[in-house]
Amino acid sequence: MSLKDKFRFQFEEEDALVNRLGFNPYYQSLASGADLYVRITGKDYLNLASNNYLALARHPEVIDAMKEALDVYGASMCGTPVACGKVDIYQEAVQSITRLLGMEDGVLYPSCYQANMAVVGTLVKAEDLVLVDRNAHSSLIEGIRASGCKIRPFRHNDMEHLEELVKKTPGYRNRFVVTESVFSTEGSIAPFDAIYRLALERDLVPMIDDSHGIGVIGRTGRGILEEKNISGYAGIYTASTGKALGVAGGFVCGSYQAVEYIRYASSGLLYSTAIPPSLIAGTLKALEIVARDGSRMVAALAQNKAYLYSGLLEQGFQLLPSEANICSLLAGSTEATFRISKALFERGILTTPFIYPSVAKNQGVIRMIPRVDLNEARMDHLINSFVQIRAQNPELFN
Amino acid sequence: MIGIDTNLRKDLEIDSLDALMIMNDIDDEFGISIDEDDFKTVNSPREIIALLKSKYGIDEP
Repeated sequence: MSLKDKFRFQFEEEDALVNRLGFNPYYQSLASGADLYVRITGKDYLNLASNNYLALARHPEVIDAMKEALDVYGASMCGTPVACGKVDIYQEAVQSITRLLGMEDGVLYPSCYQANMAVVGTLVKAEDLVLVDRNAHSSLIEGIRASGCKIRPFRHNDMEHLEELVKKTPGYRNRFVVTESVFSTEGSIAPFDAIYRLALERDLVPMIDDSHGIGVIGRTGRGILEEKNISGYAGIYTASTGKALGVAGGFVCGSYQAVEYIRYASSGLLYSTAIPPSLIAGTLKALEIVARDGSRMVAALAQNKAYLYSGLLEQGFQLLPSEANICSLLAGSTEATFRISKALFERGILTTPFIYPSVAKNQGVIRMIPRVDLNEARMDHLINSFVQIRAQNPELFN
Repeated sequence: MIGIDTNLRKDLEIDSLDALMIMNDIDDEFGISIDEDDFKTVNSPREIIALLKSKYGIDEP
């Protein structure tokens, strides 16, 4: 086998399908940002693929703040924060985050994937146990695996199973319970109030990734802690600033002691070039907008989600149950998923198809994020497009 | 329906976390801690039993 062909076999089936359909839904080349309409090969597409829930990636206040930071601080810090220093707005951003969440301290990472990997790898040791939701994000699973600890996955959002495992597993140095707030393939929300109660009762360390929750859930957009009425949260909290907050990067919050330890022990932080100042400035501004306009934006998101979700259900489409701001239509096989995605694309709509192994085999879904700047006319166009595609290709919707 | 020769990977499409859950359940139920690398070599309940007998000294009841 030539060097060129060595890894080709891994995606042979999908490759053949892409070639046959003449359509690859992944890595689209955009001549625009993550706006409501994206430009692809000279044509505009309604964008339901992006996690730009609040349209903050194009918010003039966010863009101005980032431009100003570029002028003041330049493009990059060209080194790690521990060795080369952190910009003054770094601490401002941390304070803004901790104030929003009601937590003690925090640290910023270049991405949330990195934050999750690093924080789990730093806090969890080989002699510990991690109880983790079976559907938790790859970054959490990878971090847990890298720690060499004992892992006990619990069934997705299943409190009974989690409680059973907690009873069965005494005797570890530390026991962690790790989950996400919003599971982004379909939009289920973790019963984190119950998980947190259990953690307090049974001396577990709770850890939650709120990447698809911050800015989106909770009455004013403050995420899972607000959604579940948790105040004075004493566990570990991570989130991305590259989804609803519209920028890029990630952060970890926790107690003063936990964060101080992470600051000096997390290799993902100590050996990574610091998050660029412009991203910190953008995050600060996005947090300010959420603190100011969160209630209004969350209400608008919920309204759009309800309109699209109920509109598709009324037309008889099969949707995955979703509590958060995500609509996922069950498409089935990889071929059906790709073909529906292609048919939508031909009608000027960009969605995200999830196929195996992101989802179970033959459980492919078309995921849509009903963002804040959608309107009823556009959602009607989307619903009507699905109806037309089904009329022309009924075999895709069995 | 899972049978003695059901292929966990091909028929049930289990992934590494599912495998871990099965190994943990065997540990809870029988007190046998199977090595992850060993578990990668078996595909069906019959093969798991064979592994337990050959490598972990467990007799069939």
